[in-house]
Amino acid sequence: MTMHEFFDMGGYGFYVWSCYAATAVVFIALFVMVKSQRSRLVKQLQRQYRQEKRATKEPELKASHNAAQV
Amino acid sequence: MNWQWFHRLSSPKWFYQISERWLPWVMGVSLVLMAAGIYQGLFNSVPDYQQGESVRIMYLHVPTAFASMMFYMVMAIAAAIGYIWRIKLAHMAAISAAPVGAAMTFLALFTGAFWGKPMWGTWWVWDARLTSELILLFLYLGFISLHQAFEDREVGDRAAGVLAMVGVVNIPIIHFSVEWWNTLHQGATISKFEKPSLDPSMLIALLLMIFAVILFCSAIMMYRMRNEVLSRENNKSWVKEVVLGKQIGKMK
Amino acid sequence: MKPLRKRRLMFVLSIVIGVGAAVALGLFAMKQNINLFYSPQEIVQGNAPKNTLIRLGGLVVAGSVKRAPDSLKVMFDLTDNAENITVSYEGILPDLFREGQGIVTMGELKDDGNFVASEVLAKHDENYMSPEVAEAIKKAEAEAKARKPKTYN
Repeated sequence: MTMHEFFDMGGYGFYVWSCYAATAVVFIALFVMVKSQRSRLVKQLQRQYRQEKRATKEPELKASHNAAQV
Repeated sequence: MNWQWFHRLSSPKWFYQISERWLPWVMGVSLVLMAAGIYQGLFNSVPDYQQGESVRIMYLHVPTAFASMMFYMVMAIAAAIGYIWRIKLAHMAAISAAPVGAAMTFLALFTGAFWGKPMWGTWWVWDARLTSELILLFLYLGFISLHQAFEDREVGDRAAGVLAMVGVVNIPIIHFSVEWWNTLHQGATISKFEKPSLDPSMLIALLLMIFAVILFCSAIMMYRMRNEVLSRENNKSWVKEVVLGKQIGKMK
Repeated sequence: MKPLRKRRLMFVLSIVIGVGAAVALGLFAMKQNINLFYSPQEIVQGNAPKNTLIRLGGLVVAGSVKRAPDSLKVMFDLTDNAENITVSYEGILPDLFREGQGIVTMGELKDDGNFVASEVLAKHDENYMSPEVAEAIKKAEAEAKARKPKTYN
């Protein structure tokens, strides 16, 4: 079997390789999406916990900080 | 009856810890099987006597179509368990299965179209099998968007869960459509109880790919569930430890 | 099981069974509409409308395919092993179009009982095998056929 024969797939190369490419793209996308979802979530929770910590430790400071923001 | 085990199984923390140990294995075995299946499918199996080399699309089409139906059942059963027993983890499983199932349905339709064009002579035909599989895609998308439509996540869980349960009716329709009506799509090859009408080299490739795709989808679903656990249990101290512990680990 | 849970379980079961029954009745009522194509027998019995676009499915009768030498025109008979319908078509046939092959055509049934197709789709069966095996099976069947009269002699 030559390289050309393999990629030609008996004349059905376009259809066969389109399917394999689409499947690869979707599988990789599923994995990348779930991983980026996790890193976004972890960052967001870290920010949230830091804010909570600040709020309990220095309630006055936070109150003045909020006032400044308003 | 003692329901202790049931409640332990339904603990988000327990799931988070056990999945951490399982995930590398599930993903690893899936990738090994997939590599073997693709090798078998592309290099080591015979072409079909009528369809020639285009039959190699089958090794993607059948596993994704199978997974599209299987993960719908997983989603609907999880939603029902969550609905009846008010188990949070079950709802997390349902919402995590949906995107995976939708992706598999899309791939089944896509590979089906790219197989149908050279073999049947058309990308698409409105026969019972193809139409009911398209309805499956809409059920998944409907579930996801209905779930997102509610401000309160738990109300969304239950409302979308009812839609998932109603949609179960579509699964036997997809499976038996090729027997109940005349369709362009052919009948089942290996779900028959008889000997599969498939060359052994094709059967090996197909089975490898079916298991690989199921394991891959399970792994993605578990990753999604873990995110869902962290997000929903964010006020629990163990989640705080996990999330902040990560940060310290990174800083080192 | 607690009564509340039992009630929710009943709700889930009733909704699935209820919707299932409704869908089953609906599908049963629309059975003919869901079928993709008419069979030659249904057409001969007059169940199919004439001069409107319909689909006809069947097996291509062996030896019935006549191709025009100068154009893409082709004529062939479709059978469901009960009745035959003659189909004429002009255009490119799918790769799987062969004598003995299952085919679905779209077109109009004319008053003379002939079917003028505007689209021909090939149906394939659920058997997959290598060309060598298919050849061997064909050979074995032919030999079995050839042997049969001898056993009677």
